[in-house]
This record gives sequence, structure tokens and C-alpha cells, in this order.
Amino acid sequence: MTNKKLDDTCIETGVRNLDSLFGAGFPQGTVTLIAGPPGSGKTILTQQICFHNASAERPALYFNTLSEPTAKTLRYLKPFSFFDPKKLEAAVRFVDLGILLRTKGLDETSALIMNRVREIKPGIVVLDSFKAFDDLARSKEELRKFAYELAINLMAWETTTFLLGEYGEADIHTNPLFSIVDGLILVSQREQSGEQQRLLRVMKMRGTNHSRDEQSFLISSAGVEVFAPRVTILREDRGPPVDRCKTRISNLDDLLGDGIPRGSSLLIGGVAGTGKTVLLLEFLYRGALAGEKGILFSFEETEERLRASARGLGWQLDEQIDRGMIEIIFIPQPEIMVEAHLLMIKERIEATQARRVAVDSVSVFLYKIRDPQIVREKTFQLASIVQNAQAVGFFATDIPYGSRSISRFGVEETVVDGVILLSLTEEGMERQRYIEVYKLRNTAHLKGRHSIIVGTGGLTIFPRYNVEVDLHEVPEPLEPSQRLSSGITGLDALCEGGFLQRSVTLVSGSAGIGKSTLGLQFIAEGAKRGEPGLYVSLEEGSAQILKSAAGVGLPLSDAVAKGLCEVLYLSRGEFRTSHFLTLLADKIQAGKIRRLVLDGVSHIVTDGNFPEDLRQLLFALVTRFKALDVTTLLTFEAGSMYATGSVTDHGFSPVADNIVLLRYIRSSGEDRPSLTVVKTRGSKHDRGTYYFSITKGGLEVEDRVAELVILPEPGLNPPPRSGT
Amino acid sequence: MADEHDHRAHVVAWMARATENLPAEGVVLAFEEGFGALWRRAHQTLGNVTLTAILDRVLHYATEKYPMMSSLEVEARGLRFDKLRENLEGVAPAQLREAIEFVMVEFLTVLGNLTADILSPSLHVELSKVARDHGAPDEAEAPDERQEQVSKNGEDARR
Repeated sequence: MTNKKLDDTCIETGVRNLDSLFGAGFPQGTVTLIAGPPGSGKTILTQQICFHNASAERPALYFNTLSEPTAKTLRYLKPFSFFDPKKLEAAVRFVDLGILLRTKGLDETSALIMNRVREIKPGIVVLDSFKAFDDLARSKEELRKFAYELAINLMAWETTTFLLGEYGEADIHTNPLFSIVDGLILVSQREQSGEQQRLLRVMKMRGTNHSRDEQSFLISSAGVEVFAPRVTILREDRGPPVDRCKTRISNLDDLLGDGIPRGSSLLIGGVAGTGKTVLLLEFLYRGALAGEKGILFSFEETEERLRASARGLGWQLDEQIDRGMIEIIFIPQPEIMVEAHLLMIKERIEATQARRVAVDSVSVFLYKIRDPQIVREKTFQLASIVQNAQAVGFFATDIPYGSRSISRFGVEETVVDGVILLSLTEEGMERQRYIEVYKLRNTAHLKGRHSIIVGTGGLTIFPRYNVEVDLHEVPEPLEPSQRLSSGITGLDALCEGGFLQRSVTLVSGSAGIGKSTLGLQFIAEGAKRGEPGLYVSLEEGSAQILKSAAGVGLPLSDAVAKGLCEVLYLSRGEFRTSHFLTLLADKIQAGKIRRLVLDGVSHIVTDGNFPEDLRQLLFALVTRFKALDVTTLLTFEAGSMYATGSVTDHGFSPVADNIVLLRYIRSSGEDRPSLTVVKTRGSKHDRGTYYFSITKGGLEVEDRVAELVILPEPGLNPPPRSGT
Repeated sequence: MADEHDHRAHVVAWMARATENLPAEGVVLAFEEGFGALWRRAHQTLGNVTLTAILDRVLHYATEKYPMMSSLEVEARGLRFDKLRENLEGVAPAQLREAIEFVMVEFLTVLGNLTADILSPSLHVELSKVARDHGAPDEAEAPDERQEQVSKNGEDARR
């Protein structure tokens, strides 16, 4: 009895992702032709649908014609996981029409088919292959009549019918069967993107808004698996980003503004050896330490090699993997199947609920694809997976050596939300690494290239804050009531009691005149007052500095031992100009430093750095230090023992709040050191020049110079006399 | 969309008016007229081949449940009722009505399923017209008069 309307108008095919090609599922009660050359997968596809749907109440009736004998059909069914021997006969009935067709012709075959339908009342009917009827029909008219009546009879029984046949696209226009059927699915096999691929296309399916794209599929022990990423990986509209991700990688977050919006994918571009894999691994590792799950899809390095790399960097990556916070999936390059692995990536991200996703690398993942538009589409699908999961994706891409592009294929950057470039340059005898946030949507990021070091602990990034410091870090005005003693009574007296808190004092003078001693006194005074200090030398080692301090009676070693101050030697051989700011800022924050001496800023200037770079760096340094509530003293080596030009000639004076000039003055036939406070910002000062001496206890201001004689620079005309 | 219950409601209403208290022969006559109306309306749209295929299925199920329905014969113009009339002896009118109701509901349901119920409203209308034309007797009308009317209609139909 069938006088009952079927509950649903669609059936589940049981074939992964196939239903989604039809929108709401495969329409029930239709007659569908599955056409394709031998070996293209028609039979397995149909058998899988039969076994998925058939039941004792609503069986499937599978007619074999003159193609494959039923015995063979059954034999080849066995290895598939969808095959259920219990369903054989009870739910899926195979009927061999071979003999009847050979002997009786179409009419009697048709009658037999309908008799079986009346008897069994199947939900699904299959004719495999319908091409046999083509071959037996005496004319096109006979074939059309046979097909028409059969289709109508099966329709009247509301069976979902599959006609299988070795037809090609050329038959569509000539074979009457194609106009009779409700649905037409073409399956084929050919090379695409460097792979032999099985392909499926729904050409027609009445009553549905079906996909018209060609979809690749695979036949495995599970049967047919359709990938259909254009249908299955659709970007969901999540609205504007509300949550942002902090990478927790050394200073990288300073470059990334408010953080990476959730759902974003970033391309990590660079030539080989620039540190892409380390960046990806560290992104996952730091995330795991902060409680965010991560997943890495590696197409280059095995999990074991990645674990070993992490151990080499001092990370406990093994522990995070064992805890289930990180998963590494290695897919060897020859086994890459782009569409299949896209779906796998989607499923693993969903299953692990990963919040950080790394792909190493998209350039290897997509290496077989020659069409840039397909590369673009696949990258977009990858980014869509990340967006839908509201994760953050880092996709490595290998940029060819010597290329000016920022990705392997030149199109990936157009579909991702951000691009981070890693680069290597030869500088002298060294290779220097850089990182640059080239693009990051919806985020005010720090532009420009920033130096990086890869070593124990991972990446260390040294941001060039000066690049945008004028936009973000305008120093607060100094407060005249808050002053710090310089440690030199006479100098404090010249500056209304000391340097203003958070001020920057530039001490200029020729070599050996006493700049360093002044700086040591400044730090020692702070130690005495409980104001932590940092003395940074760019010329001499820490031991030498402490010895020199002891030599002038400054107990700096004791202060260091008590943790009241620190002496740091930065060798120009080890640290680059661009590293200073970051390094010092980190030290200041870690040691809660209140007083800082940077001794020998002129030595930051290297052969390749022009004064403008140094000026910018100094400006960035002082702005940063002020923001960190530090009072700074910079010493600058003047080229002349007598003249004042160096500081102003280089345009450094605007950088400093105070300028103290140390120089020699000829007096009574000898050169005596003198000190002049040339400038103080925000307070009055004594403009006189004073002799000073260095005694036990340090620099001591003496008598005012009665008449200042400026001695000429070699090769210059004598300057005019000037009184004080 | 109409479902089996809608079709049944229309068929039951029609039967109540067209066959109530009629002897078996009168019931068959009403069935012939009612089914004929449905066939003619559906035939205009669906054609012979489709309707025959549908009827083949409907009768297959009907015969499984009501063997007396095997006497109905499918032909190009619809159903032939001659053999059913010949075999009415001993058939209880109530059972006959049940079998007829089954065929009518089944026919409407299958047609509805296959055409997404596009034809269902017009088929229901056709059926109700038959019931009106056939003229269900008033409550006050004597049973003998009703029988007389049915016999007359049967003769007209055979002519």
C-alpha cells in the first residue's frame, strides 16, 4: 500500500558530500542517469547509495544487464565498508537480466522489470547498464519508447531510479534517454593539477538548485567520497571581528597593534631559511602555553623532525603535544590531494577546536596547481576554514629567491587577511634577518622591517618603534617640581637642584674628559637613593666599568651586588642598532629602572648608518624611556677637545632636554676641563662655564671661568672671542 | 500541500453523499462515475501512459488488500467495471465501499505525490461535482426513491 505521502522529498545518498551538491539532498522518486566511461565509478557510486538506503520494507532492486555479471558485481562489492552482507537479498536484490535480454528483447524485459517492481515494491531501482538497451534497440524510436514507458512506470511506483551507462557528453544531444531522465550525473577520470583525478558533475537534476561545477572524488575502501570544497567550504558571515589574538611571540604583538582579529589568516612569506617554520611552531607553542589549542599541517617536515627542532630551541613542545594542546599532521608531498586534504584540514580543525592553525607550507600544498586562479581559490577556501572556526591561521609560503613578489604564486596575498614577510640580507660578513608586517586588515600595525634573531627560546624581535613613534608616543611634559640629583653637587646647583625627572641629558665631550665618570656618579647617586639604575656601555666591558668606578671612589660594585644597579656591556658585534631600543626597554621594565646611562651613543653609528638614522634612533630611545618613567643620561663623544659643534652639528640637541658640554679650556698655559650647561628644558640654569676636576668621589665642579677663550679647530679660522 | 488525509476527507464526503444506503450495484455505479470524473480530469494533463501506469500500481495494492478489486480491468480509457458488477454477489456493501474508498484515495494520493499536488484541488472539485450531480438524497427523501434514482443513472451510464 502506498496511499501515504512520503515524509521527505529527498534521500541521503550515503556518499560523503554528494547530497550537498543538490542543496537539500538527492531528490526522491527521480530517474537519474549516471553516465561515464568504464571504470569511472558509476557502479560503486550507485551500489553505495543502494546499501545506504535499502531496507527490508523499502528494498533496492538492482538489475544487471549485459555489462557485468552479477557474480562479479557481488565479488567486487565485498571490500567496501558500505557493503553489508545482511542486506543482500533482504534489502538489496540483484537481478540478472542478461539471458532475458539476449533472448526476448526489450518489451519482455520491460515487463519483467515491472513485474519485479510490483512484487518487491522497491524504493530504489538500478539498471546497470542501460547502454545494453541502446545496443539492443532496433531504432532510436524503439529506444525512446522503451525508455519513456519504463521511466513512467517506475515513476508511478515512486521509485528512485538510477540508469547507468557508458555515455559521454557527446550523447547528450543525440540520445533520447537524456531528455527523458530527471537527473544527469557525469563521472569521468582525467589528469588535473598534476594528479589523475576522478571527477563528477551534476549536469541536470530537476527540482533542485544543484551545483554545476565539476567536483573531484575518491574511491577508497569507504566507497565514494566527493570533496566539493566549493559547496562544503563556504565562508560564513561572522560580522566584524570582536576578539583578537595575541601571538605571545617576543615583541611580535607590538608590531601587530591590537592583535590579530579572530578568523584571520596570515601569509608568512619568505625565502628558504628565513625562519617561517620556527615562527609557525612558536605561534602554536606560545598559544598552547596560554591555553589555546593549535594544529600544524606540515607538508615538508615530519612530526619527529619538528619536535626535534623545538627541543633545539628549548621548547617543551613534546609536553604540549602529549597534553593534546598541539597536533601535528604530516602529509608527505607526493601524497597531497588538495581537495581531499582541504576537507581533512577542515575536519581536524573542527574536531580539535584549534584556535591556532599553521600550514607549512601553502606553496608545497598547492605546488601541483598551475592555474593561479585555482591557487587563489584554494587559498581562499583554506582561509575560509580558519574564519569559520574563528581561529587564526599562519600559512607559510616560500618566495622564490630574487623574486619581488610576496608569495609563491603571486595571488595568495589577495585572499588572506594579512601578510608577514621574513627576509634575510647580507650585511658585511653577516646575514641579518628581518620581519615586516606587510598587511593586516582592520589593524593599525607597526610598519617597516624589524630585526629578528632566531636562537634559544625562539624568535627575538627588535621592533623599530621610531618608525611610528611620532604618531603614538608623544612624551608627556616634564614636571618641574620633580628632580633627580646628578650626584654632583656643583652640577645640581647649575640646574636648579638636579635633572628633571624623566628628562634626557646629553653629555658631550672629547674622549677621556670625564663623561663616563659623570654617568657613573649619576647611577651611584641613584643607588644611594634607592632608585634602580642601568649603566649601558657601548665601549668597555662591565668589569672595566666597575673598576673605573672604583678608581674614582664610586662603590658601584657593591650597588650591583645588592641589585641596586646593573652595568651592561653591549658589543656592537653582537647587537645591532635596531636591537637597542627593544633590549633596553625590556631591561628597564624587568629591573624597574629609574636612571639610565647610555655611554657612547656616538658608537651606535656604524659605517652604514647616517646621522639621520642615529637622530631618529635617539629620538625613539628617549621617547620610549620617558614613557617608561626613566631619567636618562646619554654621553656623546665630541670629535674636538675644545669645540661645541658635534651635538648641534648632528642635530641631536632637539632630542635632549638638557645638554651638558664638557671641553677643555686653555688657562695659564694648560688645558683644563670645563663644564657648561648649555640647555635645560623646563627650568632655569646657570649658563656659566666652570672648571671641574675628577677626584676621589668623581667629578667636582670648581670655579667659574672668568674669560672663555674658544680655541680654534684645526684648519678653521679662529672663532670670535665671547665672554661668559 | 494536500496529503492522504485531505484526499480521504474528500473521498469520504463524496461517498457519504453518493453511496450511502445504496446496494452494492448502486455503489459500483457511483464509483464508476466518480472515478470516471477523476480519470477524465487527470487525463487532460497527464495522458494515457502515465495514468495507466499509476492505475496499474493503485490496483496492485488494492487487489492485495481487497481481492475483489482484481475484477477491475485497466484499459486505455480508464477502468472497466463489468467484471466487478458480475462478481458482486455475496459482497457486503460496506466492504465494497471500503475497497472503493481505498482505490479512490490511493489514486488521488499517488497522483498528488507525482505532481506535487498541482492537480489535487481540481480533482477534488471534479469529485464534488459528481457527488452533487449524482444527487445525494435529502434526509427526508425515501430510500426507495434514492434507489430508483441510482438505477436510472446506472442505465444512463451503460447506454
